[in-house]
Amino acid sequence: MIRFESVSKRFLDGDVERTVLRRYSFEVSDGTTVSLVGPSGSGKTTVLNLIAGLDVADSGDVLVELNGVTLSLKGMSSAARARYRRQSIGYIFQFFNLIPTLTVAENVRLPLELTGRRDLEAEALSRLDALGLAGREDSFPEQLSGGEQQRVAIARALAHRPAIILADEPTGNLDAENAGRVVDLLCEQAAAAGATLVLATHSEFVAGHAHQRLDLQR
Amino acid sequence: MSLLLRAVLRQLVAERWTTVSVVVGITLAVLSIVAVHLLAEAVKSQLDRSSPGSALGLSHMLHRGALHENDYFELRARWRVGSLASVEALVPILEGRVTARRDAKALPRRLPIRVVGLDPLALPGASRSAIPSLDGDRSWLTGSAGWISAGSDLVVGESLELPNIDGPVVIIAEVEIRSTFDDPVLLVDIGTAQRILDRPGELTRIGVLRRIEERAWMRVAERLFPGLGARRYVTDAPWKVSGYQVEVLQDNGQRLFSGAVLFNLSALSLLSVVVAGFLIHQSAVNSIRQRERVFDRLRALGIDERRLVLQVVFEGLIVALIGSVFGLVLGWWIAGWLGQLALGETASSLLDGAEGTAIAWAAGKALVFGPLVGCGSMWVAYRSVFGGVRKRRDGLLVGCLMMLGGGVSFSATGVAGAFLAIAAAALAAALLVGPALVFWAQAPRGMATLVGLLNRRNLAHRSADVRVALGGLVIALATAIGMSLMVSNFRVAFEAMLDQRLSADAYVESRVGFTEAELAELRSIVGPDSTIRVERREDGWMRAAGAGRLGASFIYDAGDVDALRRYGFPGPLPAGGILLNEPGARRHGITPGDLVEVSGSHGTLELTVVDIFRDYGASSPRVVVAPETGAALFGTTAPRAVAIAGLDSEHSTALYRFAERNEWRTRSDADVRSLALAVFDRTFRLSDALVMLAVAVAVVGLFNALVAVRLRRAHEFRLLHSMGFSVGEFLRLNLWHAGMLGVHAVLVALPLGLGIGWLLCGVLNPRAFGWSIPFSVSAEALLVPAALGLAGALLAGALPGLRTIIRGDYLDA
Repeated sequence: MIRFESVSKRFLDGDVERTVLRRYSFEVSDGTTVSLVGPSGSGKTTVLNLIAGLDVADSGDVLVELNGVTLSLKGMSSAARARYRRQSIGYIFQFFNLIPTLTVAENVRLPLELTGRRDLEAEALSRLDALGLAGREDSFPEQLSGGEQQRVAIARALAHRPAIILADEPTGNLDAENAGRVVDLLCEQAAAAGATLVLATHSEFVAGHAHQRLDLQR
Repeated sequence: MSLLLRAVLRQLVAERWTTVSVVVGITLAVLSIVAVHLLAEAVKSQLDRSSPGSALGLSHMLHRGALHENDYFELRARWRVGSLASVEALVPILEGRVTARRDAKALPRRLPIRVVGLDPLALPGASRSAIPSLDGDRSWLTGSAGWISAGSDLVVGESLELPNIDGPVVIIAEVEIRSTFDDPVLLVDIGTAQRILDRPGELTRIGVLRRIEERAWMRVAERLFPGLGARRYVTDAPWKVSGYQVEVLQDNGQRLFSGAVLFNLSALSLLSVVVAGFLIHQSAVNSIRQRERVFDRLRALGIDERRLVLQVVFEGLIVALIGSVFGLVLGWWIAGWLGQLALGETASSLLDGAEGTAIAWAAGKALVFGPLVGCGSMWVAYRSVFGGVRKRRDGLLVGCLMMLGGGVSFSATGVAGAFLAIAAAALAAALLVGPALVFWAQAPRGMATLVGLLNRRNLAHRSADVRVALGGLVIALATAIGMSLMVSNFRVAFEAMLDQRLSADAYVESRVGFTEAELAELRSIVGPDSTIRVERREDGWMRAAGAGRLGASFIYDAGDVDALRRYGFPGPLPAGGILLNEPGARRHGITPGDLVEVSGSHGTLELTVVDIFRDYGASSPRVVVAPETGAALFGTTAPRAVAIAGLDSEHSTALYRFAERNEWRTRSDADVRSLALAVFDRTFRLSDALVMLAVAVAVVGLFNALVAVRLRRAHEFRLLHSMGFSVGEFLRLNLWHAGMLGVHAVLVALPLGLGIGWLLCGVLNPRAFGWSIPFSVSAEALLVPAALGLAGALLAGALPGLRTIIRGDYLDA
């Protein structure tokens, strides 16, 4: 379960303070797929970053319940949030999702190494087959197409069995055919893993894949 | 303001960290140039003030066995008919030593002084105006007035009673004049001197001012690169005057030594500039690469290449000018501090008295070197990013190897050849450091974690972003290692030489020489357990086959094996054999077994050089001969110094009291030894400071490169952050990257530093100073610069790493 309790977040844009989120509240149940929809600058990425603990709310709190324990992200130290992210979050970005100097297989194995879950290696690598990347394990990211890179990112985000998967415009950089394939695979794999998937998008097509829709305004 | 100019200024502000670090690098480089320039001017003015003959404005001295006034007049006649080319003045000089009686209240009452008589009206105009009261007080013509050398115990207005003349001689002014002896010098009219010394009609020598044919470009080159002309002090006088021996006054070791030290310091200050060039180049390459799209857009707008290059060069100019101005101001300030290290207390007064021209030259150098390096580095960076510079690494490497081989093999290339060899070796290492990094990072290894693999691959992947800065760090570290090796080896050899020479407990000198009675009394005072070694030293001449005649100092106390051991010679001198010091041997190309002609006041002999001894600090010939040879050359002279060994404290006190009563100068060899080592350490502290400046510039360069790498890895960092990388892990990642670069720089710098150390000891020193330094490798000389390089690299890595973490730059991707 993810719960935003009256969360506000401001940023400095030059010398001007800009409020991105004002007393924003919502709740998402475990194992559901949620889409965050809104125009650019409406705070979609901010919501993802707050869930991931990359940002901290200026007021209000973000609560995440994992294995029956509720975590208050605002009250956690930076190190504790890093540990939480490492164990429980899988993040997929629009661009630059992979480490350029690691191969496909190494990119997928990286979160397992960080969490110490080497026992999941076979499962994680086998997911590459399901994602249509068989035979590309030893390729470097620059040798893959955009769609392939994004599929590797999905495999990497799911590798350590995180409870929450955050995807920031995962199809924003892909053509329609690839976008459809990637979002289908993402939703399918997240559901198979029982993870909560939060998708930030301004594509109605992608948003249509979600169980729950949250609209954000500028 | 043009839009392009506005774009340049905004670019500098947008990349303010890079701008600031480049300004810091340029500041440090210009600072070292300005500081060395001002120190060089201070040293030069000190030398000009103390050089023999310089106060009199004379360039040469003419000698012959017995010289009379008639010889002088005959020479003047030859000069008038034009047979003495380039001569501008001829001055008759008579010199001798007498004991003066002072006023009743003055102590000591009796004082040995050197009387120098000359015809002031024959002096060149510039010299006459440099002698205070020469034209205003004509009393010296009457024989009742004279000048005293500055720094003596005698004061202006004091009256001296001198032998053979009626009435006192009153000191009317002080004059800057140096003597090879410690006695005060009294300058009087030549007629007065002849009466005082009771040598009517006689002269000692004839002073000459000969116009030095120095081209304007040489003077400019010397100003640009202090010490460049040091070698001219070792060239033998090509000028000959029939019937006379010609002594070149500038031919003195002090000038050679200072010139060589200044050359060394100038090279070290240029090292900072070169490393700063690496820094700017690296920063420019990184900055231009980040703006490649911007340049493409500008090209699409119709802006031609020339304009784009100008824009980039203009960026370099602005940054370099700011750095140069800071460097100039700080250089002036820091020159005093460096001067304190090298010259002691005299530095600040020398700098305070610096001439306007010296300051203008310092400012000029700052405002030329800084912008030149800034604009040049930016231009090369732009051309290298956009493909205008072809890859010439292999050709450059071959060129470097040829320069290295040529500079080492051909001794005729002199000091410049040795420096070129060092520069070539350094450049070759800088060229190879990038490929070596890639090779090293990609070398197969055992099992590694993915984070380790990521780090290692990044070393290779990002090598283009750091290789120039890494090259700068390698050069700076290798120079530090080489200098450290040279100084440590030099110190060991110097200390060994001091141990050989300064083995006595006390050293007693008499200005007028010891009588046999005084020596006997000395023996009774120091007790039966002490040994007394009498030293006789005189100045004479030596000439090797096919070479000109040179002044030489003769030591002929070497009557026993113990005394000869002080010069590293194991046994008694064979008949007709002499020992010659290394600088003297090098200047004439003499090796053991060669015959040389030596002459003194009593005769000339042809003798065989049986061994050559190390003589650090000397640049002119020093000859050790047997006592009987010395007697044949100089006759029976009173010994002027005795060395006493085995002295206990009781007898030591008695000796010092006795010496004080007789106005003898005493010194402890232990004190001299520690003083000499202190001077040695002080001199080389300056080199250390300059090398540290270069290392600092290199670390700033690496910092810049690592900032650029952080920016290029921002997306990667964002991803790692999203995967739960903690602050500590990011810091470790940054430190690992910087640390590995530091280790790589050290690994490349170590062999290069060893090579530079060998070149400094075995090639440069013999060519510049005339002495060789045995080369050995000490762990400290290697480890300290290596640790410094590693610490510098870690610091350079920690700062942008911390900044990344604090500012969260990885989130901006």
